[in-house]
This record gives sequence, structure tokens and C-alpha cells, in this order.
Amino acid sequence: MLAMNFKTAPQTFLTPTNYEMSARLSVYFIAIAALLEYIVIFDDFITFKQYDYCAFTIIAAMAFLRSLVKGIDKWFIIFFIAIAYPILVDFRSTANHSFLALYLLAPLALFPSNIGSETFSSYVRRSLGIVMIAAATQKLISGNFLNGHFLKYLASGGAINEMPLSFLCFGQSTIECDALVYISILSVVWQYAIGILLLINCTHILAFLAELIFVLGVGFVTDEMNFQAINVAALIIAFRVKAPPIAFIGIAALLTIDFFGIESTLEGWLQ
Amino acid sequence: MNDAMNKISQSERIMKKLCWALIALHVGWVCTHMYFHHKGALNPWKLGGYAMYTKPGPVYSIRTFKEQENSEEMIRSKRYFYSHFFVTGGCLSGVSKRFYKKIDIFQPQLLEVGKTVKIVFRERNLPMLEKDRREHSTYKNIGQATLNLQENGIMTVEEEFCDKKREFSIHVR
Repeated sequence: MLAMNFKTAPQTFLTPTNYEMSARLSVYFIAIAALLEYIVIFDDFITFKQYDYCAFTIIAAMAFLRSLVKGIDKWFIIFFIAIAYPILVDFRSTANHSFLALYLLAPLALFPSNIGSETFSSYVRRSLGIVMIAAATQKLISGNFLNGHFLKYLASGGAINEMPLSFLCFGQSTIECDALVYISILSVVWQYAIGILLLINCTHILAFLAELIFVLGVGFVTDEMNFQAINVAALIIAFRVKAPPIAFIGIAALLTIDFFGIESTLEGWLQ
Repeated sequence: MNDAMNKISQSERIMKKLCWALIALHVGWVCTHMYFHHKGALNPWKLGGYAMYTKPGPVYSIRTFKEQENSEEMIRSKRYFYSHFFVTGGCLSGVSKRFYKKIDIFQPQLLEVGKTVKIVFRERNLPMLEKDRREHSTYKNIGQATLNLQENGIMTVEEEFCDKKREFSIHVR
């Protein structure tokens, strides 16, 4: 099926694909982002004799490869169950974006043929809206974010990807930096705004760009590219974007950077 | 053709109901997480909530002591960034059994038949706005466990977390 799709694939990296193709590729990237979380620590599973995790990761990888060749069909449920097992069994240490990937893929596990439907798009849109509103509310009530304390804490951590935050202080000490307080407030307001836009089903290009810029900006500073890859792929589905191949090359790059860690990638470039 | 279209719309109708159920589940859990996190009872970085990047993730550490002749010797002090530990209201309320299995794999010489190993669990409090914050960090004991390996490879674990005591056995070898 994939081979068939590539025959009708666009001519350049910037020509939009059809929506069905974009949705399918986005689902592949959400699936691979979830799978990579387990593949990168596969050695640990062997070291710690977690053979059930090994088995489920191998089954998930094989089911994923099958869906690449045959398309997302009723067998996709095997991938879903295999990836859900380690996430749910080890729920105490599972990353939040693995739970998000599970939420996003759940309807497809039972209804794979509806991948291009408006029902699935609006489900993804609402789920992302919930994430944004919840994350903004948590920042609001935490008592450490609106006053800039958390960004100051991040900026004084010294990692290369956190340097843009200290750069915004223009030579001021990060602990006394007012700019970080304003950025904290702006990011909460921004996150609420895009959350509301998503929940009211706004699919305007400006809403898409506002969300994309937020996701990529936050992802860069916090070194959470796996989360951002899931978010960008989900945005393509949520806004029913006929994304050009270059967009998927970008998502693949995000996952590659996440694989090595943004700090070590930047250090490699800067040397 | 009409049958096929009906079938598609029927499957989409069922999918729509599933989607609403999942959205309700998502909202329900997010609100629950928010409530318990605000009460200080849940790890903000874990468990499918979205409170990461609102405060530093909790850092736990363990200190391992091994019984010697009339004394105890500290064998190891190790930090854990991610949670094998379930902390509610500032007290340890659960440790994954995998954690105890990993102790044996990390340090095969640690567990000896007839010798008690004690683990003290601690939570690190890192001040956010101190310049030398690592030097200003403080530790709070949140529980302890005693491990006893038997000859048949079964380890008995006695956990003491705040005012709760629990005893169980796991197969480690």
C-alpha cells in the first residue's frame, strides 16, 4: 500500500500531499515516537531481565513494520496493545507523551479505516486542546511559574538549549531577570489561547501557526523533541493539513534529535 | 454501494461515541491529576498529567546499608530521577517490585543469605532560586525497607512507610 501511495506521491518536497496520505504519515510518526521510547532503552530491558517488555517492544516494532507495508488496517490493534502494555504496566515512570500517543491512537486501533475522517481529526483537535488548557492551568496553579521562578531555574541550569532564556536577560543575572517573568506570563496566555482555539474547532491557518510556533519553541528550550514530534504530527491531523513531504522530514529530524538529545546534538554542531 | 456507505457511516458513528468517551476519560484524569498534584500528593511530571515544567521534578535517592558484625555499613547512595516510587502527601506509599529486583541485578554481591540489607528512601528538596542550589539541597527520609534473601532465592521485603507496614516476598534469583 505504501508503495502504491509513493507512485502518486508529489513531485517536490514542497508540493502538498493529499490529506489521507498526510494523516497516515502523521499516525506513523506518532506510533514511531511512542515506539522509540522503548527501543532506546531496549538494552536496559535485557540488563534488568524485563523480558516481557522486550517481547512487547519486538511485537510492537513488527506490527509497526507491517502497517508500513500493508497500511493501517485491523491489525493495527496489535501494535496498539503491544505499545500500551509497557506504558500501562510501568505507569509510574512512563513519560506523559507516551500516554498522549496512546490517547491519540486509541480510536484507530478499533476503527483504522476512519483515519481520514473528520471524526478522527476533531478528536485529535479536542485532545490537543485539553492538553494545552490542562498544561496552562497547571502552570497557573503551581505557584512557581507565573512569577518566573521555574524559567529562572531552567535558565540557570546551564544546558546549551536553555541559553536562549538567559540570553533574553541581556546580561542581568537570571535570578533577577524580569524578562523571564514576562515570558512566563506570555506563555501561559498563549497556551490558553491556542487551547481554546482548538476546543472551539478553529482550523484557521493562524491558529495552526500559533500552535506550531509554541510547540517548536517550547520543545527547543526543554529538550522534549519526542513530545514535539507527536504534537506536530497530531497538528497535521487536527488541522487536516495536506502537509508536504518536507514537513515529515522535519518530524523525522525532531525524532532523530530526540534520539541523541538536543544538548549533545548542539554540542556536536558547535564543536 | 449504499450498503458500503451505510457501513462506513455506522462505523464512524460508533467511533464518534468512542472518541467522546476517550475525551471524557482524558478530561476526568487530567482534573484528578490536577487536584492531587495541587495537594502535593502526585508527581507533577508523571502519570499522564500535564504539570511538567511547572516545578522541578522530584528527585529521590536511596541509601543502602548492609548488616555487618554488630554494625551497619553504608554500601551505596544512589539518585533516582524517575519514579519507581509512589509518593502521596510527602510519604512513600509504594515501591515497584521491579525496583527491588533491579537492586539485586545492579549489585549481585549486595544480597547475601542471612545478612539483612536496609534501604532508606529519601526525597531531595532543591531550592529553585539559590545560586549554588545543589549545596543548599536538603533531604527528607520518606520510608525504609529491610531485605532478607533466603536460600531458595526468595527475598522477603519489609516496608515501613510513615505509619504503614507491609511485608511480601519476591523471587529474585
